[in-house]
Amino acid sequence: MQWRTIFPLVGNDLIRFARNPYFGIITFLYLALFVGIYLALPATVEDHFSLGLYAPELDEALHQDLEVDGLELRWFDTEEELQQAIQGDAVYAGLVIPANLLVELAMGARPSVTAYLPDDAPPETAEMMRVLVQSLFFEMLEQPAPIMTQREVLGPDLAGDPIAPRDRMVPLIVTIILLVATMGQAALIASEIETGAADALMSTPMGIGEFFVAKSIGGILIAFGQVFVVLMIIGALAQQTLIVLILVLLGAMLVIGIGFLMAATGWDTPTLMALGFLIMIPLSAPPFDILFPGTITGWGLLIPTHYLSVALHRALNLGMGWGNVWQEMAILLAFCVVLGIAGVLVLRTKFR
Amino acid sequence: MPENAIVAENLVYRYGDLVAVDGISFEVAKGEIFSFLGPNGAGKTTTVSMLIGQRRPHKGRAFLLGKDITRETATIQAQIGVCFEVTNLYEEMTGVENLKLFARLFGVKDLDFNALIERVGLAGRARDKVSGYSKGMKQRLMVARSLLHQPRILFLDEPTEGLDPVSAEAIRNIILEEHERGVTVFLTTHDMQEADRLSDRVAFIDRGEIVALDTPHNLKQEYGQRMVVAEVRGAEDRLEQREVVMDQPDTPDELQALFREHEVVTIHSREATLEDIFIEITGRELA
Repeated sequence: MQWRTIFPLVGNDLIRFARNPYFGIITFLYLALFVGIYLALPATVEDHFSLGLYAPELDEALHQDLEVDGLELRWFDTEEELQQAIQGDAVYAGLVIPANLLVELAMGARPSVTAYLPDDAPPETAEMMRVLVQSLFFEMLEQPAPIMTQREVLGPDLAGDPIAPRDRMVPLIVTIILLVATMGQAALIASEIETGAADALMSTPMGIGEFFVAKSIGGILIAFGQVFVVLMIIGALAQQTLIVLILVLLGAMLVIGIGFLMAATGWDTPTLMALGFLIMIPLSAPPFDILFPGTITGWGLLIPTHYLSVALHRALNLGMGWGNVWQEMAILLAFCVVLGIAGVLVLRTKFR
Repeated sequence: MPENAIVAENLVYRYGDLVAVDGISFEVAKGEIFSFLGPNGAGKTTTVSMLIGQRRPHKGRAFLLGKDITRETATIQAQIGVCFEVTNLYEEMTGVENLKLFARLFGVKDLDFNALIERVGLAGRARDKVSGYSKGMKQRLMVARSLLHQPRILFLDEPTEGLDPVSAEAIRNIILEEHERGVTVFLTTHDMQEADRLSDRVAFIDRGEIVALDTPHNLKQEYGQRMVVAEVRGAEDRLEQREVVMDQPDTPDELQALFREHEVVTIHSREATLEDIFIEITGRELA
């Protein structure tokens, strides 16, 4: 690896990015995209509610009584499985109905059920769960039942300390900035290939390996640098700084692979920008889910930015440490590797 | 026998089923100006791509300065300069920024950029963005870029194509200056006059094969015909052209007949051009 050939190219990329006239107006374009997506989202929070249930001995009766429009039920064999499903976003909330509940009711006691809620559940969800439990047993017993609903939040309970919407928006801002930066990087590489400047580079002692390393470093610097500045300005680096910076670095690495794939199309800058916006829409969905919980369901797990958004949200907004983000970091790293290799292999075919 | 700067042995390159370069072999001596002549699509640029290490030959080998280009690519590339057929500069950068980037890639530290820019006739425009340059200025900048590390071999792919006469002449002069400095020049062109004027030897390439290779003088001797061209006054006082092929047994009789039967207005001798010879050999025109 000849590093003396890499750094001049990195510097060259930074200058070209700064001078590219298109990226000056990108900011306005993606703000417009924000507005478009906001208007496209449903005005109500969620009309389809996924509820996990652990109710030994009551399954059969509940199956018949809980067929409610908009209520999707999943049954779990243990309470632990139910908790994991909520934390893994497989279901939104959960209900645990103890085995001896009907016996206790018959004895005149006031039994209680446990309602598990995610840490980002809005306050009205707990009330909704209480009403649901009351309705359920009213249907089953044909009279009001004195059942208590104990609310239990999985993760830190933010009921008394809600997260401001602007803080919830930070993962979205980070994702958008990273994606816009990669559009720029993709356009620069595509133009180098299109104009033959890449051929000129390859006629120097610089090898193809150095070329990709330089492009990766340049792209990461552009993407990471922009996010870093924004996070500094909004004061988001005050807690879990190292975790946040590593996550942003992983995010920058993730979009480099995407940028290589985009650059391999060889399209001109305007067309690449259009493609970038297309790609941006699904990749922005997970951070939208942080902003508006319940926006997406299980399919969000397939989107690499899900892991970036969730981990950033936990670190930035919930102050969680390594133990709560390492899994997301690991999956994000795996996506970086896969997309990076795919990007290099595809873009490599554009060279002679 | 002079030491060779370039040795090509049975080079083959295919684009799918199309054989672009079909087993060509040649040698270029150190300090020689060697021109590769042929029409568009003949395989000139593909050959250059293999010689400069950008394409790996499907068959055959190429040695530059005694080293195999496919094995010691970076070492060789540090000693060659390439001026491409297409303009491949960073348009959003200034002229001097383009040169500085490549100087750093080649590890050149003490380069007088102003002198180099002045040499290619771009003084005063070095700080302007390349996007504002004319085609001739861009081509001159590319020549400057190919020279900045003082290469031992210079590859120039159609360096004067489409240029104004002043820019073209400036580039030809630079080629001759580099030749005097002892640099080996590999020139691809379909400008036969340029090749005739500059080259020590020329190779005609057609459909991926070398069909002739020699000095321009020898090629003319071997394939060309010397002619006498006369303008004579014909019917209704119109000027008509008559040609007499020289060096033939009946040439004296034909010349006598020309003067006897016509009023000769002008007369001059004409040697065959490289283009005539190319057509003679291949049956095709260059353009």
